[in-house]
Amino acid sequence: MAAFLNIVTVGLLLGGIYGLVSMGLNVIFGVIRIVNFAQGELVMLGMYGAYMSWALLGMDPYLSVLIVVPGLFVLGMILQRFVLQPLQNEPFMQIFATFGLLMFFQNLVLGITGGTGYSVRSDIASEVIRIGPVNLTLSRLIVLATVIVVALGMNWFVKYTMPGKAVRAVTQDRRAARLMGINVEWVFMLTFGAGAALAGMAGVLLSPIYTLSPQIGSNFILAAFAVVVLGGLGSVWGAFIGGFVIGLVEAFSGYYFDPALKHAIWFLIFIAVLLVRPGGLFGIAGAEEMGLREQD
Amino acid sequence: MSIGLAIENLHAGYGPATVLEDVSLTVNAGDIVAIVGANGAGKSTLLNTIAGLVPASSGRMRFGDTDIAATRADALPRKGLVLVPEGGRLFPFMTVRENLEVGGFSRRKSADFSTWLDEVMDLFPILRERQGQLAGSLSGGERQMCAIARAVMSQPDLIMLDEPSVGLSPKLAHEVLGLVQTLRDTKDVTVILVEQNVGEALAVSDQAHVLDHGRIVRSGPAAELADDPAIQKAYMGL
Repeated sequence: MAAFLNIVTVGLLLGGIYGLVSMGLNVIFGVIRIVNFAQGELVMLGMYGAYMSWALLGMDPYLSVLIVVPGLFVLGMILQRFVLQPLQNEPFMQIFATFGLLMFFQNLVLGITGGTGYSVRSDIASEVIRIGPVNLTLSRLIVLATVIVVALGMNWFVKYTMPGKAVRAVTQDRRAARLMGINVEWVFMLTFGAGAALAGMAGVLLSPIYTLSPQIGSNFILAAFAVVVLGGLGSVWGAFIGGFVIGLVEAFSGYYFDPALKHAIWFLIFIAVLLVRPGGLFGIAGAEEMGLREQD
Repeated sequence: MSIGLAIENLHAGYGPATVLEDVSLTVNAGDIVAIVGANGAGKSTLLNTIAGLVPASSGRMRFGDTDIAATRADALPRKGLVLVPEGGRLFPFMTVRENLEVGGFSRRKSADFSTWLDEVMDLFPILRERQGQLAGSLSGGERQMCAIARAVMSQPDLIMLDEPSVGLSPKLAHEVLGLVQTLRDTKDVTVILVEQNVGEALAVSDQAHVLDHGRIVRSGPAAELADDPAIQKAYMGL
């Protein structure tokens, strides 16, 4: 029983990490309808941002959220405006461009750091909380709490605020949204900025957990694709629930089979879900191919 | 307050294909003006050009005192000009109420939002009943009314309707076009109405223009055009 509870806990905590990493990807896909291959690299930049704030300014990594999140928000807006927006009418080229950004950031950081693996220390991150037989690392608990708060916050934003409704309008019919006076290009810039900011937040919160490397983004993007397709592309709750599904699967398969099989098992489930529900568990069928309607 | 529109020597089209050739017309404030013509005559292109969705290659467009030839589509509702696109194009996964709320995104006067929403729903009682329903689940007539109501939410001075009766039964079409008249009378707006249903359109309009192959071939009081045997023969199947 204690083993089972521990596996569930590990799975939920992992799920929190995967969910947090996937949310930005899903926000960008949901609104702009492009798959951002560079999302993992944005997480990586967030981690290095936390490292720099710690190494250069002596900031606790958790405090560096205040610098990294706004920084990545601005970076995301700039990338959308100057790299993706010129390709607005060529969705495939946009995807290739994000792949270019992936290579660019990875090699830029590789060039600067020379590939040294850094790690960040936080005084609070390594604390362990015991609840009965279950051990909880504080750093992972913080991630779990954050992903819940972010999911609730995003849900509230798109459901109950006017800007949130405007964003939903853009996702459902760009032309009609434009006719309502919504500046679609601005919505795209702000959305990409928000997606990048979420990646930055994930990077900061994960920096005390992982050893930093320029290629670390690839681990996250793989998980994020599994999570997002499983949960449903573009659905707010998709990334959240999908993250927990993937986290629990990884924890259980690691315990009962072999941790090395985790990717194989993720993608087995991933393919199975796609066969049964092409739109993902919470998505809208067909949304993965294009907008819900002819988009112009 | 209703505002008029003046178009001079407008040319527009898609890429190298010119659809509108030298279109000039005046829409007086407070009028309902019908643009009629056959399929492919350029009626929708004309509305889309005014709305900023299709770029004008040359010509002048003035909305009241404002030159709107180079205005972005998303800036026009704030100036008081709004288009109800063909088919309505509601946001299918949002409720009727949310559609109307988004319609008020560019609302200009700062009257209380829920009071205004109530006022618009008074005009379209069926939408009040359906307000919690997803827009994608509405029937054809309801969808069209929701699209018109959504545009009214922006408090326009001029509202353009692209084929509001398309796909509706004659009874519903009559009802929707009747609503257009009510709208003009109660909300003080100018209306430009594009219709293939020429008889019904002329019956509710003050002025009318006939568009043929991208050119205006006839203009005049709607009643006069409705009585013209040539128009009756060409467009009304009489």
